[in-house]
Amino acid sequence: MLEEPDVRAVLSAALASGADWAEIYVERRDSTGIRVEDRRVEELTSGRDQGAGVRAVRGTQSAYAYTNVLTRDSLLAAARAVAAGVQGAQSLAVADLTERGIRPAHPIARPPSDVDKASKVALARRCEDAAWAVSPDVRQVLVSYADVVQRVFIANSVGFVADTTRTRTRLMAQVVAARDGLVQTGFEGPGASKGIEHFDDHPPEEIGATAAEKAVRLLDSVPMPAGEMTVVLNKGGGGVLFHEACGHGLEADAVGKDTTVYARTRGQRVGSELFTGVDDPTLPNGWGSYDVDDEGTPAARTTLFEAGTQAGVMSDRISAYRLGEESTGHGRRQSFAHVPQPRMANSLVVPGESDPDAIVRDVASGLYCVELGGGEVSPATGDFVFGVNEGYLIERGELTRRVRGATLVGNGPTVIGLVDAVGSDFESKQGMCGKGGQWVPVSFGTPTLRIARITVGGTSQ
Amino acid sequence: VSAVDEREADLLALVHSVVGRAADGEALEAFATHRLGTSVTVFSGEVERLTSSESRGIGVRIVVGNRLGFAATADVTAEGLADVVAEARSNAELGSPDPGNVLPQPPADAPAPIDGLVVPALADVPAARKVALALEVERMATGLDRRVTRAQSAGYGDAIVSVAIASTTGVAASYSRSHAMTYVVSMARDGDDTQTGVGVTDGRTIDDLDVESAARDGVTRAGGRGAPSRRAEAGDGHGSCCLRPDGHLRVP
Repeated sequence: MLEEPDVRAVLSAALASGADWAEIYVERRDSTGIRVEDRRVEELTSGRDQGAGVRAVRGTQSAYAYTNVLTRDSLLAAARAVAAGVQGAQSLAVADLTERGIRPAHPIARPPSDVDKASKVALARRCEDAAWAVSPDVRQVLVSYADVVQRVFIANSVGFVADTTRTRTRLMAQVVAARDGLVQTGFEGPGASKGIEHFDDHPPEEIGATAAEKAVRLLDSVPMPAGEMTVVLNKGGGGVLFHEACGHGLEADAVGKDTTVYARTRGQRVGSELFTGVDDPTLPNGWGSYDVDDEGTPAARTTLFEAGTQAGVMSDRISAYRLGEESTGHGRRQSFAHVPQPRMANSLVVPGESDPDAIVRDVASGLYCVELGGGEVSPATGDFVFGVNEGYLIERGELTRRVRGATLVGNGPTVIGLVDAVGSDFESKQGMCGKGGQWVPVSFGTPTLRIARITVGGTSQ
Repeated sequence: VSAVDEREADLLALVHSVVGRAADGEALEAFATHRLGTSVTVFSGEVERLTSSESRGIGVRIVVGNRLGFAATADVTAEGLADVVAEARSNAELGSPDPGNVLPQPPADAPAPIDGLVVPALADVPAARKVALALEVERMATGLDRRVTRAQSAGYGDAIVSVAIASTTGVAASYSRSHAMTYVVSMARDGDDTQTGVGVTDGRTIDDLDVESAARDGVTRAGGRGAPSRRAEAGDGHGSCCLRPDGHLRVP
């Protein structure tokens, strides 16, 4: 995306005031967005964003400047600005810039650019039609299609050069169903680091129908009784809890600053011995996957909990430096207009050996969560609250009544210590994760998990 | 004429040039922005990150036969502008017609400028002063209460944003605004109890900031203890919530 002499000149200018290392990140992002609502194409947008960020780093201090004017002069101005922000006594030269051969691990069969916009609109309409067809109780259907092709070029003064392209597609359906004054919603939105072939695995009709069926099923639910009880999280259903209540607390910036409940428990037994969790950006074609992170570090799987023992953290270069370690390849940024932060990619609880049906059969009384919804977590304490989008009472080992209005209230380290069964199944969900004003695609997956006891909030006496 | 005035004029010229690309029968609107910003984050008395930025971009809406198409780009070269208009046009072809899809008419009377919306001198404030403010809010927040052992994060940010809009219906306007803020997220520990609290001060320029107030808010809000969960019945006098004017909850 840039010529080698320009890259070298920019990095040299950024190093000029004594930084340990300097970096340039150049990005071009082409995107398409379609919103279909109530049988109308409400929005069809396309965009191209491009720009570059230059960073100079000394220890844990950094200066960053970005511009979307991609001329040599503009980039040199950014480099001089960052050099002024990081002062040191040393004078380092830019190493040989050798492009590291990156073997793309997430092959794209049909890039979004090979498909015309009318065909993408047709995908969204097929999804919508399927949702409407589920039940006369369906009142509103909103379908969103998105594709992004992001080309990234990264070079740093220690000689690393990477040029990578990331492609992602996603189709989301949100359905409102109503009956007798009760209104419920259902959502389904699988995404992947794939091209249009993503819809071979997830046909639009399946996405629309699944969202509508969730909404309609909830119309038959009863209010959830509150209390402490055993909770079984369906495969995939506990992923967001693991992501929020454990993952964020294991990002190395918070660990290094001692602002997370997990900052002082590394190497200690925190969870149940049945509990092993990882973050894996190498997951083939995963929604949160990448070949190299946004600092150019090759993606790698990081074990966070090994049989209940807190094993590792996710880091970028600066947070790793603070901990005296090497980056784990989790430096991610929303765009060239943002600095990298340690972030999750695909956070996963590793499947165990229990039969998922037996996990439920052994529960005399409890709650079965098919899907968790939005929630809130305090990384400092690990305390969390999550809504339950779809849940069922467990009575004498059987799923009985659907419930609504349930919330899970607990503490991350405590809850993973109370996991007493891990299923042999697995499923992951996709979402966008926000941190420090930046949003990046992530996925989170789990097998069926059973938590021996947890506080469940509800609206029934 | 300030640099802000010059940028507004450049943006107006840019959006007018795009409006001139409208085809017969098309309603076209161009909206362009330019943003100049600085942010500082500090940790434990040291500058963690200093960011300076400049970016611009343009969005184009085209309405043809009540069908709406939109496209945006950061590439404001002649080729980039031609591409973004072509994209918006092709997007409009696939949109559903809606009688509500019309571009706004210009107001009968030009709106009066809002005094003080932008303080151009903010662009001339040295980075060192911005860094000093960020360090100050962290220092104050960690010195007010022994239980506040550290600031989870603290920093300063500002921006000067210029906007221009023009359309085939005769809309032609521009404005600029500035914004500065300092914040701290205090972290208090008392035994096994950990709480965090946010304090923020903001204004149109750096001179508007009340750093001491932000630090005190951050410390005060980190001092609360968790309220027990219970159902609140109307009129029972317990568990009710009051919303303060600044948007923060106070639980009696």
